[in-house]
Amino acid sequence: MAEFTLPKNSKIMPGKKVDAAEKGAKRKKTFKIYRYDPDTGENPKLDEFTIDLDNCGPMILDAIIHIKNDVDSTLAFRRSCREGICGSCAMNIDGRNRLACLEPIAGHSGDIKITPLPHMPVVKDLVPDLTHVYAQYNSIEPWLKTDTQAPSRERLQSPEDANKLNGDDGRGPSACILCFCCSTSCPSYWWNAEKFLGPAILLNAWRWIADSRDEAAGERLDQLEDPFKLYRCHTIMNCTESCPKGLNPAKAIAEIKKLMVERKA
Amino acid sequence: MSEANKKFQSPLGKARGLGSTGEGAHHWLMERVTSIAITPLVFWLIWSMIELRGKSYWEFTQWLTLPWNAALLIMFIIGVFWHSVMGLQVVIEDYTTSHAKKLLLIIAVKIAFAFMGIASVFSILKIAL
Repeated sequence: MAEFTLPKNSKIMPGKKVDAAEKGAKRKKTFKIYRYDPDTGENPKLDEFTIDLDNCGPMILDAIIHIKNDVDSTLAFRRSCREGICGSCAMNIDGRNRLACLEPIAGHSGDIKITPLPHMPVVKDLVPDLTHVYAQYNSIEPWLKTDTQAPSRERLQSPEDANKLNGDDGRGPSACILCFCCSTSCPSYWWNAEKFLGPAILLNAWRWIADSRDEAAGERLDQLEDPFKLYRCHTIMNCTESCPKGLNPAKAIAEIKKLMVERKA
Repeated sequence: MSEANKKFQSPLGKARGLGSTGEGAHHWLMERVTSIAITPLVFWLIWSMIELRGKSYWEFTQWLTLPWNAALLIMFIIGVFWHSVMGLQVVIEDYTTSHAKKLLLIIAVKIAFAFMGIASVFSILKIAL
């Protein structure tokens, strides 16, 4: 059956409390951060770090980088570009999947709770294991597929057709950064991740189906037509709500479902 | 595929699994078609029940002998059972992890709903004819 409670070894225990803010600090803030170390064999813990916000930048990522640099260097998390383009620092912040680099601390009142992306195996602390979801991405063959001989110059595409990928507002399917905030917010993906591709992968599948230069739309649809790969989507729409880039995976999935019916008629 | 073999399977091999069944689009479409078909029939049934308030058993059976009423009621029964069995199938697929249990439950639900549907239609026809 689906898992509605955490298994015994995943129950989160209270962790250590560290007050790293100097006496008289005016802007104190406490971050409750999920800690898990596979080497110890212990249950995960929720450590509390109190810091002075005057010692770090305005975003959640700035705060956890400050904690790692100056308070506890054992804290593990992924980060790279710090400007919402690499998708590395996706994590669950106060119950919502967000990119830590795009999430202002000022938007959160009280203590801030940070846990890894939900329902993924945890490598360490805030680092989820993305092996399976990357393999799923690989499985949709996310590259241009053509049988026509390659032209001597670039493959032409009208601005209208390019807009289907880029979006009029730059929020088309090709703007996906594969942070997996959407897939890991989807209950259907939690229950059936083994077979359901999840919103991130389906958004990218749509990106190639919608590409006017691609010649494998039918083959791609054949691959997706399955009760689990595509149709586990029950339009819950958490994906669209959680996308830190403002994209609309739910609409992309609806477009795929529309094509599935259209090709029958 | 046995569990022993799966241990050494590559991530891509796991993700691809046994491939697509090529099914699902029809199921998805029929869920929507049946729900749209049932909607006006629900209003018709409610309206009919209000009309039949306080009427005797004989008057009710007379109402059901009208081909129009019997046909709509049979359509309603078929639509509702069809829609329910498709919905239940999805719920079972969502929440049951064991493949054997999943398949058995779906078959059992389909047989049970087919029986209830046939019994209902037979009962209507028995009164109507």
